[in-house]
Amino acid sequence: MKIQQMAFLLVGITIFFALVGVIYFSITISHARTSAQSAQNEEAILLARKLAGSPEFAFTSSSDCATCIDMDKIIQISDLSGYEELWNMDHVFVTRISPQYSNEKCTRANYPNCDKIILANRSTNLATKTAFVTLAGWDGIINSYRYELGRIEVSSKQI
Amino acid sequence: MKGKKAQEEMVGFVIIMVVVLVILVIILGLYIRQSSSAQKIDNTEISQFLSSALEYTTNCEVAGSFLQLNELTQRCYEGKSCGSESACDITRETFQSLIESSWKFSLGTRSYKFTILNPSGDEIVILRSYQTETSSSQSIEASKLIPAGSEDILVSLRIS
Repeated sequence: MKIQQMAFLLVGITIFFALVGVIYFSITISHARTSAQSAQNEEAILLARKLAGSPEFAFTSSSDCATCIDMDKIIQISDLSGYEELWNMDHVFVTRISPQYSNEKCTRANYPNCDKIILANRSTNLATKTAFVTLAGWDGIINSYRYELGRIEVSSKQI
Repeated sequence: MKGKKAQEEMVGFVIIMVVVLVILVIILGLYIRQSSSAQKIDNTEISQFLSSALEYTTNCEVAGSFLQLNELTQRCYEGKSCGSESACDITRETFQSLIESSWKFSLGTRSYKFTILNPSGDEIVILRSYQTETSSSQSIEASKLIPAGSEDILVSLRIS
């Protein structure tokens, strides 16, 4: 009788710990995807900040906005292929969110009436990471710098 | 002899309870740490959006120069106008356009609530994607302070 009771107790404890383990692993697994996604987002944001701070991107014409991207500067380097190697990126797009002109790719001919500057675009299946940025550029109509809302999209085998 | 056995069983039971409690506390600790880290990163996106949005050049022209959204918000707080329109109306329209261009919102899936609070905590601008917010438990929020004299205006955006 005593052995039977002990056996029941052991089985009960084992089931209890198994349940606790199952709950723990289900919580861990459900958070694993979120954590991975969050880590990737954080990396993208850090990468975007790093790019925005580089001399090729940084807006230095006015002290108003230290973290802005200079659209006038990057349109000049968008045709130069050497920069793809410098940043070691497979995909770098700078997109204007607001105001929107047209969803066309920017060239020196249609700039600034366009929304997307492509700095690197190697064919890749890698997921793109994005971060919000302020885009700055000279506006001849208002005769001053205009600040707009944009997004930088990057993808690389590194991230 | 019977009393001693009962005592031993009680000690065993207490030990098991303590072990189980320790395990539960560890699990809870891990769970809370993971949630707060995920929240922090998600907030970064909204925080970055607000920082970029506040730099945005608006259509409000004052003394020959176009105001940035943070300056327009200060003007709204001061109760001033912008041409024939109220500064708060232009602030509201500009923020609405920026938020709705940046994320896709649809009834029942994703919604937002944007508020501008004056230093006393009263809402001076409020924007919602829908009258009834979605019942999603996941909600991310970030805020920014805009100096207005010796006090601050609080701009916050919550996406559910």
